[in-house]
Amino acid sequence: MDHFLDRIARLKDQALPAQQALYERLATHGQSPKALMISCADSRVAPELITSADPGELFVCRNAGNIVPPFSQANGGVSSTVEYAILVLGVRDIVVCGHSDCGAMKAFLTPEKMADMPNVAAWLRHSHAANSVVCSAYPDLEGNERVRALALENVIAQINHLRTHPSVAAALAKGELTLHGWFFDIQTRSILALDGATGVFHPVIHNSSLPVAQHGRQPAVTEFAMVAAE
Amino acid sequence: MPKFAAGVVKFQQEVFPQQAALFEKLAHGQTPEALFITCSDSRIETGMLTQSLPGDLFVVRNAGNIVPPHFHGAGATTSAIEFACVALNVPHIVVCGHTQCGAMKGAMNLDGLDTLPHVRDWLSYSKAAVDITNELGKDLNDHDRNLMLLEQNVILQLQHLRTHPAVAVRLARGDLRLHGWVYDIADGEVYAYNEETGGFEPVSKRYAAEVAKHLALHTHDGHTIAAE
Repeated sequence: MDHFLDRIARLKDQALPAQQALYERLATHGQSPKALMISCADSRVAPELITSADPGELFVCRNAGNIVPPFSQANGGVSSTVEYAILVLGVRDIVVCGHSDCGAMKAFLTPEKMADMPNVAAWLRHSHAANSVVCSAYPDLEGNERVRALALENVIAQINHLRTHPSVAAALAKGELTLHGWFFDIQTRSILALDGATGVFHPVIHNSSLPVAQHGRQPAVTEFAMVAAE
Repeated sequence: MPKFAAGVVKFQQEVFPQQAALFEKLAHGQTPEALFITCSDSRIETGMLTQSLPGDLFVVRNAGNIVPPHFHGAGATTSAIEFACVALNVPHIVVCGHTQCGAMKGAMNLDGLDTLPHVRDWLSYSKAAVDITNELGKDLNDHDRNLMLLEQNVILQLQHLRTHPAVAVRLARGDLRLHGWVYDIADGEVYAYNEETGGFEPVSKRYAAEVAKHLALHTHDGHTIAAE
């Protein structure tokens, strides 16, 4: 920790001058991030790093397992952060980003390890649907492959939860929000993006269209148009 | 492709190769030295703020850098604290607030948050800090009163931290240290809570002893010299 404190003590003199103008603007005019990223608390996953984001660009929510509880009357940190991001900041994109070697997913698969972590066990119940998918769709996977499959399915499950939040549902209906499901593979330097239509994760590649979990509705869809389409 | 997605391509092509060895090492596990609880605000970049690398910090971020006190329900923050204290055995927890916090502005006026029901409920975890600030800071100007709220909120969330069994056990064992910080977005200064004086002071002063110890140990370290 001492080297860490040393670096922070020198931060003011070192890191900031390079971006002084940006910080002054952000301090004067406030933030207007265009995206919310919900990622794992894992120390190896740095949202700003993997998106090359500058300060002010990315609103970030991090918890164990990049989980979004489904909407309920009970309040929580993730629900509040999603609500704030959409209704106050007006973000246009939400990314749920999972990752390889996820300790939360491993814990889910080894319940005995969670004996002394009752709150973690309770929290990870939000990944139960993902585990059910893995158990029924890929019953033969073991070890790291099973952890990886669970982490991928967990991204899909949390995007499903996101849609249950009123602020998300309304923004999608207005065509003002796009949902993304990503997976960061720490070892192979690749980031995969979910194609929501097929359920397949594809590598994010330069000059090719970004796979998207869910687009917002076309703004032209009105009640009249919906009736006409039937 | 949105800008942040284009940034992914840049990361894969430019940043990742430079740190390939680090990520190769990290691929099979993490041993972070701190749990860092801070706000979701886009102007806070934890890696830059602490000059830390991937693998150094287990990070929880929510609106207002809030830690609900322990209760029977398990939420995002509670579960991450437990995981950090029990599974990762982190030796430090930092609660880091920041200037111009939108959440704290909202906490000052909960009645104005009728259209944000989740946010309003969530910010009630800062109510004691708001009440203290209204009581002790009523003669202050807006700037100083807002600063007092940020500081009081960090102190309050540190108190909430202590109510979590996993934290209480580690504190009783004496192998966990809690830190309360406020980051000034405008000038980059980080102020740290001093439990003895009850005030906040710049990190370079608050941690002068630790920094001196580190420098004494690493004067001949090529890395440190290169960085200076």
